[in-house]
Amino acid sequence: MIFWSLAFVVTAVACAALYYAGAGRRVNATAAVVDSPELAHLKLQLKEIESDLALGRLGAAEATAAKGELARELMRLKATTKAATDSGARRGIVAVAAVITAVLAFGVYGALGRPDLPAQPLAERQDVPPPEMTLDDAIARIEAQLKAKPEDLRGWTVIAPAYMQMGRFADAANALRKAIELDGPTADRETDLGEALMMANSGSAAGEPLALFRSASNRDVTHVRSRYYLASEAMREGDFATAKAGWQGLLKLSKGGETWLANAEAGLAAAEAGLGGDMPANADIAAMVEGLSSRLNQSGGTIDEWTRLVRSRLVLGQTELAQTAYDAARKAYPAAGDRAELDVLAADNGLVASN
Amino acid sequence: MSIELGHFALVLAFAISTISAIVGLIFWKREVLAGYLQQGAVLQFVLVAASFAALIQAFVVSDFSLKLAYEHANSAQPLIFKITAVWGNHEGSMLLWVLILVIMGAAVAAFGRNLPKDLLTLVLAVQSLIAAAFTGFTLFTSNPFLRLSPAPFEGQDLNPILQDIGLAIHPPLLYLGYVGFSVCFSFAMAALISGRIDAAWARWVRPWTLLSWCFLTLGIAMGSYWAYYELGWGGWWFWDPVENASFMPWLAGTALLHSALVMEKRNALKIWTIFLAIITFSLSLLGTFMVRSGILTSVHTFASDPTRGMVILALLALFIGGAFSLFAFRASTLRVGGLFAPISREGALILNNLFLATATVAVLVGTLYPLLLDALVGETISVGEPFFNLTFGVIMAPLLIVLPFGPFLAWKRGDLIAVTQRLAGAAGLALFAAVLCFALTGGEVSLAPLGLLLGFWVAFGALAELVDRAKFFRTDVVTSFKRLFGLPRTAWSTAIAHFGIGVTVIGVVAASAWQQELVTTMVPGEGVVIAEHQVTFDGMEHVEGPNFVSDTGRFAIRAPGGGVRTALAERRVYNASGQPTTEAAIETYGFSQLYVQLGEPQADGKSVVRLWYKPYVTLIWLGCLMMAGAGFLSLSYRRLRVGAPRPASARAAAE
Repeated sequence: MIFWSLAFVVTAVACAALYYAGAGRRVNATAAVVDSPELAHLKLQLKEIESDLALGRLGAAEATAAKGELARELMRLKATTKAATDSGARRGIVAVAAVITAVLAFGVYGALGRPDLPAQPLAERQDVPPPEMTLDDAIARIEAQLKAKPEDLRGWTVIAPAYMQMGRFADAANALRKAIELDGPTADRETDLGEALMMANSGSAAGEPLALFRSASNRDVTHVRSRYYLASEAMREGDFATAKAGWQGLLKLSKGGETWLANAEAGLAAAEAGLGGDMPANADIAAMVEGLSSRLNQSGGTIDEWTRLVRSRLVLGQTELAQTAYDAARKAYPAAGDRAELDVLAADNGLVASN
Repeated sequence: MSIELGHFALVLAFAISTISAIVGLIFWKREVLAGYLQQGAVLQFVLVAASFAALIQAFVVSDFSLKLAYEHANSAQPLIFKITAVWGNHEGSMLLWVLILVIMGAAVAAFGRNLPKDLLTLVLAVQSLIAAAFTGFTLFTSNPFLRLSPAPFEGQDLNPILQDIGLAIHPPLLYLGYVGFSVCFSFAMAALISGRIDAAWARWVRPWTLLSWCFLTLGIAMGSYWAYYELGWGGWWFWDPVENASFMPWLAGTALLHSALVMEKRNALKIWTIFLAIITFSLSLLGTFMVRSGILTSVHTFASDPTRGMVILALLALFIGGAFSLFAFRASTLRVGGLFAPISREGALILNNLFLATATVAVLVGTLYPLLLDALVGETISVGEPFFNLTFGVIMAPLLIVLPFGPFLAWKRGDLIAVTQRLAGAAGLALFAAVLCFALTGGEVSLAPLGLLLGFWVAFGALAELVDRAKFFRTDVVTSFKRLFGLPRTAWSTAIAHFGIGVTVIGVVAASAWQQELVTTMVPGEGVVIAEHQVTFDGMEHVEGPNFVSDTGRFAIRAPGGGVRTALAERRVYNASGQPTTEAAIETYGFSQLYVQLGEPQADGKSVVRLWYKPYVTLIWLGCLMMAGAGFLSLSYRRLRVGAPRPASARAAAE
């Protein structure tokens, strides 16, 4: 409403100005050649010639010739100038013109404008979160805040999982480091950082991630995720004794019903098989894996189940089938953030993340 | 709400300009309506300025509910680049164009009070017509006021190459030049419609020509220098279609400037002057649209946005076609002006016009031919530097040779032999200077000394005119100096402008012929020598800018004359867009420059470094500054000038 009032006032002022400029002024309609601008120009030229002559810039002969040219010009001018005429109709013309201008303006603006939309400068948008904010927006916003206030622990803690979800693992690692720097390490933070570094390093836990998982599991003896990664890494390296101990320790922490439980049990079985040097009840395991595979392919399942399938295929040495299962899992879970563990497993075992 | 008010203001300006144009063109004989059009012109300016201010405000507060701001700005940009981002894109730059157009219109309305009322009405009506067309084009095909809801949190970035102070200076100057010629065009149209054209007309038109020409000169020079330091190729002119688009109106405008002079002083060359006024603005329009329509990157982008492309074609056809139809229809009825002998000031200026017009056509052909060929046959050819250097050079050389004669010749009928005698000193000096340079550079046979000779000839010839008019060597020194400072400012401005051309020519020749280039890889601590300058690479630093990160190479330059300077060449990556740019390090020694550009870092830790030594390269732009400065000087001199003819009897007496 305020907008329309202002628009109306602006238009009214403009149209009134146009009307009075066009209709209000009396003009001497009989102004003839006597004070026409053309004549003024000729007079100026004459004056100029005379002053040039006086200053010696111009010879007498040239001056006479120039004056002669001016005189001829003046005579021509007098012959062609007619007195201007005007009729009273001009008020009508300008009034109609002003009204059409206003109508045109409101018409065109009505078709193009968005008077309902308020201004949304950055400063205001930072305070009031709009309900439907995309992840990109949220990240950009937090980044802007962190740029202004890099000691904001909450910001770093919030942005790290968002980066992970977007697959920006190096940025996530950086954010987690900042959080640890600001507030000291915890088992969760160290594990998160290890995970991010591992992902950034195409799935390899060697080096800093492993050290971080160890530090986390020492810091908190009941910390599941770090122990899980340690056991997995031991499996990958073929250190079945460590792996077995790791899986057993994990299973002791279970209260039953956790999502990782089945994986840990499968891992323990595989570790024991590795220790034994052979594969007892190979046929049973194979049958179990085939059953899982057909169920997942027909009716789908959780990402943990897919991970278990891929792992089992790998343990059984069925690399091609593992790749097929991995492809199917990627199709079922397209977001990289959902299948962090699966991607690590796949990368460790040389499976290809084809798109 | 300020965005929508700005939008409304632009729409209202569109309505006012449309109705003003209609009223003015229908009722121009009712002289009293001039008041309506004057008021309309002022209102258009106020309203477009308000809408432009609204855009700037939205960019400054990062209001990304404005689509334009979202697409071309980022909250991390420094304030100055938030403001310049307003016109660093198609829509905003169209609005800047319109803003300058209405500034010109308002200026005509404000300063035109002593114009004949019917002429004023017609000029403002044509000006309003142009404004209506372009405001309409902006609103309906390139509206800068489109909104987004909800507003995205962060905007995309302004193209990093444009994040430079050059964007704050170059487009406004260039547009002041381009669009300023619209006033000359409007005057020409008014003269054709009313059938009235005389010396007074030329007197009223000339300041606008001069003003536009000065701004265009500055705009082109600034653009050239910007390309030189920002693009990192070390070149200052590429005969790129975009450059040609601005150069053609300049050539035509230079011709117009000179022919309007003849018309003002001698009441001659009227039809030609009108023709040039139309051509100059038509070329400005062509240039604007070649750049703005996207036709230049490829003719196919033209087809990809059919609305914009078709509207552009229609506008070009309307203004250029309409103007020339009117010209063809009315030119024969215009009164032919004063007569003159071939050897005279008028004759010299016609020669100047012929050369400039031919040069314009050469550039036009070289620019449009590839576009037309691509559009019609689908064959892609590129008309590059060799074509332009050859054709343009061949046309310009004779112009430069005869240039110093012009100011010496008398109006109406001149004496070539006497003038040649008076120029002998300048010719001798130029020859001496060129031969000296030839000897100092090792006596290598090339076209360069001839080019230098031409540059010195023009420069000394320009000075010779001042010397001659002050009667140096013909009377005592004190009187001569008195005469020198008593010379009208126009004599000075002519001499300075022509001197500036000579300076630019010298710069062009020297920088092209004796440039040294070196491309090498360097590790920190390593040094090279170029043109006796010892350049040592001190190492790389990682620097964080406000919205970019930069790998900065630090170089120490030891000049032959002693003294060490530190130069920083950067490779930047902009945070928001991830786009890289390079920032060259340029050190100026006298008129020469050392140009260091940092290339790709190599795998083995070395950095590619390109170095140029460009002798006297700054003269190119200094000359342009002199030309523009001379133009402003001449503008400041509002006394009326009469080109007094040399009477036949006086000549007889002299002989």
